[in-house]
Amino acid sequence: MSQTFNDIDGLVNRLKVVARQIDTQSPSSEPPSYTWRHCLNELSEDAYKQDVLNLHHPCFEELFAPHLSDELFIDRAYQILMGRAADSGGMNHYLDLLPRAGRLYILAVLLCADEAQAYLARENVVIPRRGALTLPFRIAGKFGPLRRGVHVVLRPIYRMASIAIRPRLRLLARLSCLEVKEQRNGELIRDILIELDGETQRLLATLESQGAQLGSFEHELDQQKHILSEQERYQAALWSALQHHRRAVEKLASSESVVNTSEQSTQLSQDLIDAWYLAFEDACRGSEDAIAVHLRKYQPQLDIALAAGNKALDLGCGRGEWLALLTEQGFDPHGVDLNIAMIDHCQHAGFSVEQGDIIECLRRQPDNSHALVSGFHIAEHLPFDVFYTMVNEAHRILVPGGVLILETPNPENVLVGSHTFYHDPTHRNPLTPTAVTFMLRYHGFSSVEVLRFNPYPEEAKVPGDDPLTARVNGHLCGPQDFAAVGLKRAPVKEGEASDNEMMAKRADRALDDGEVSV
Amino acid sequence: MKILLTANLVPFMRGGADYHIEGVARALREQGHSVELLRFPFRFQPEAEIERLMAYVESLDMTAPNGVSIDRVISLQFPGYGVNHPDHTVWVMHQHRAMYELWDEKQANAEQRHLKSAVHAFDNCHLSKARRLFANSRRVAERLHTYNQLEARPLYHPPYNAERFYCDEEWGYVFCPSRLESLKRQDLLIEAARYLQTPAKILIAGEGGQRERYRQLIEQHGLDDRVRLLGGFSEEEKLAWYAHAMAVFFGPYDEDYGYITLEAMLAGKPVITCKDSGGPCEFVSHGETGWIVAPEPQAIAAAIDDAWHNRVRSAEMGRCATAAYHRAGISWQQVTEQLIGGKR
Repeated sequence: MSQTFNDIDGLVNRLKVVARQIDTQSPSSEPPSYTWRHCLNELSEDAYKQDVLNLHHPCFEELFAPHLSDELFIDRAYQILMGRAADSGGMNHYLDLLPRAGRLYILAVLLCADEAQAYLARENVVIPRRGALTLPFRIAGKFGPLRRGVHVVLRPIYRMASIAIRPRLRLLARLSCLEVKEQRNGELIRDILIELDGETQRLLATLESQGAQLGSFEHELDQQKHILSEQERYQAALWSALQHHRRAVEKLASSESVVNTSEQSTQLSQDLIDAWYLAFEDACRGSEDAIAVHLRKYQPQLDIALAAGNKALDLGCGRGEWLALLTEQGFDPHGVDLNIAMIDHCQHAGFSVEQGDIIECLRRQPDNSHALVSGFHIAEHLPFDVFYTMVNEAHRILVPGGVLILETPNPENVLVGSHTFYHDPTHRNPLTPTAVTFMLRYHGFSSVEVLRFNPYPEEAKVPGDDPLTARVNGHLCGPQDFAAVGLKRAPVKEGEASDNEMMAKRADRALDDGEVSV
Repeated sequence: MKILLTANLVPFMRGGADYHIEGVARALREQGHSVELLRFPFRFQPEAEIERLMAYVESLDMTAPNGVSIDRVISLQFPGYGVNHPDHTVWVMHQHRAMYELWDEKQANAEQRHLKSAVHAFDNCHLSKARRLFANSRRVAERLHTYNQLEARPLYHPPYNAERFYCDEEWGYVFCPSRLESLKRQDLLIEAARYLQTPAKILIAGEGGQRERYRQLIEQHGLDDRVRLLGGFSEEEKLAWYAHAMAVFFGPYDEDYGYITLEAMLAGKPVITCKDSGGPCEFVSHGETGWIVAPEPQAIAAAIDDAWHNRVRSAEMGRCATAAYHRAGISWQQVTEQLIGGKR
């Protein structure tokens, strides 16, 4: 155990209290315990010993002892004047004499005794008013043989004097008793206060350190909570992976046709990869709420598309969050996805979906048949020729006034381009806003707009508003996704081309400035 | 056995030596011996006075004064060991240090030079005649070997009130009880406070001639909130202040024995001492029961910081120190057995 004192005076005071508690008499090697409590006990005990403070310099009232019984008075007188207890002979004699002569007389007699005079001289004891007390005796001594008679006269005089001064001495005795008590109590109270002060400081320090500990526990708890929620997410992913495996096995078992072994193994390994991908998506995509909030940002584009019709095709529809929003907005959406588990999920939710290749699906659609074609986070998975064909086919099947939305990770954010993009091993290359914009224009979309989403939260940014900070924040904390939105128009009328150019210029300027806010 | 015990008396300058002398007398009496304690009045100045005392002591034959035969003479100090007796045991507390390890050739005058050669001759003559020769500590034995080519066995004795020391919760301060004198080097400790990285406090107890200088040193370096001169202290205060210390500093220059080390060990406290401190180094084992460091403020500060950084280990070192004390078997019983029984 240890404790720390910040204040050296407090430390020294407390050490002095401990020292005062050490009993000089008892040779114990045990440390004194809880000294303040000990003091408190002593304070509440009123057992104050009515002893003579200083045997070498007794006060007169101590000698006279007005508050003590006759026996105790005689005992004390012997103690002070001769350094011993009264013998029984002396005691009886003086007890007998007391009622007639009073205490002053007894004291005078004792003071004149040879034993007392020798003792007082040897021990250097100073008796107050010794001269006055014994003066009559000394005078009586001069009467020689007559002194016995003189003593008979002296006794009542001494007695009268004793009676006369007794009230005053009683007060003095009481006063000195109170003084002693007061001094002792003062010392005890001071010690208790010092101890309690030390104890309080120590408790405060303990509290403080426990507070700090609590803080660290809270922090740990937060981390544990985070880990738990991560695990909950993985649990869902594992569960769906399990289902996927089940379906794959069922599919294999039900296929009666004899498949050659190499095909079978290819089929199985694709299933395994699909299952892994589903689990990966479940673990790494945002929450359903967050996705729904994000998709709502496309409301203006949806409104434009709705003006052209209500047929919509979602390429790589996944779990169907977008299909749900389209249905809610009055579209008649159809989804296509390669992943059988995703398709199962969407069918279960009641959406019109199919499992298959997006290009094949696009090719089946007639010209000018759709108001909206969308592909969320699909373009970055595609080889160039497929991407090219996808945009080309999308333009073909859109009605004039129809809208193409392609959302993909935004490599303008350096961390996306260099790091987060590669979380997904099925990603090929980051696509830049410029490249996607050009691809759409090239295939005939008359107006192409770039929308940027999901910047890092404000608290992640470097504080400051100078150009350098803005640039750092733009490149490291800017939007993590962008969408190229293309509008298919009827054959060009005058004026529209210039609008497009202006829009393109705006986009370019934004890139040059590194100003990538939405 | 009738034993004559000789020692010195420096009137009204009581110290550790008196405790030691009285302790030996009491222990011998408790063993059932008749002991007479013969103390020679000793004056440090003038030099001639010392030579006179030497000559007087040499003239004393204590074999059978007045026809009463004395079985054994045991001497503790210079020049008492010059007394003549066929069975003389000498337990050298220390020699006349001013003529040995504290000798300063440059400052010495003719009288002192004369005294020095006289003292060396006296010691060589009488100490070699002793039937049994013990030294108060290994350090004192080493000096006897170096200066007088005499072999003495170290014999340790317990400090005063050894049974009353106790250990209590440590309150984060370094305790240093000693007389405030240059040889005790409290200034090293005060200077060390300037280099402390930790909030350890330093409490220096004791009175002495250097008090004013130490006070000024503390003031000069603004160490008032870290270092405190506590002044004189009672026996109880000493016990309490040892009990709550985190560590004890005792770094004198070439100490003969040093009760402080043993007291700290009894109170379960690790001791910080210096390589040239003499006696304390016989008892402190560096890294186990304390620290033995260079006599420099920085090194002392580093030891204090070390004690603070691992206060649990420091307390453990204190417990090891108590165990080491008991292993060493330091007791009055042991002392009397050696003084009476052992053969040279």
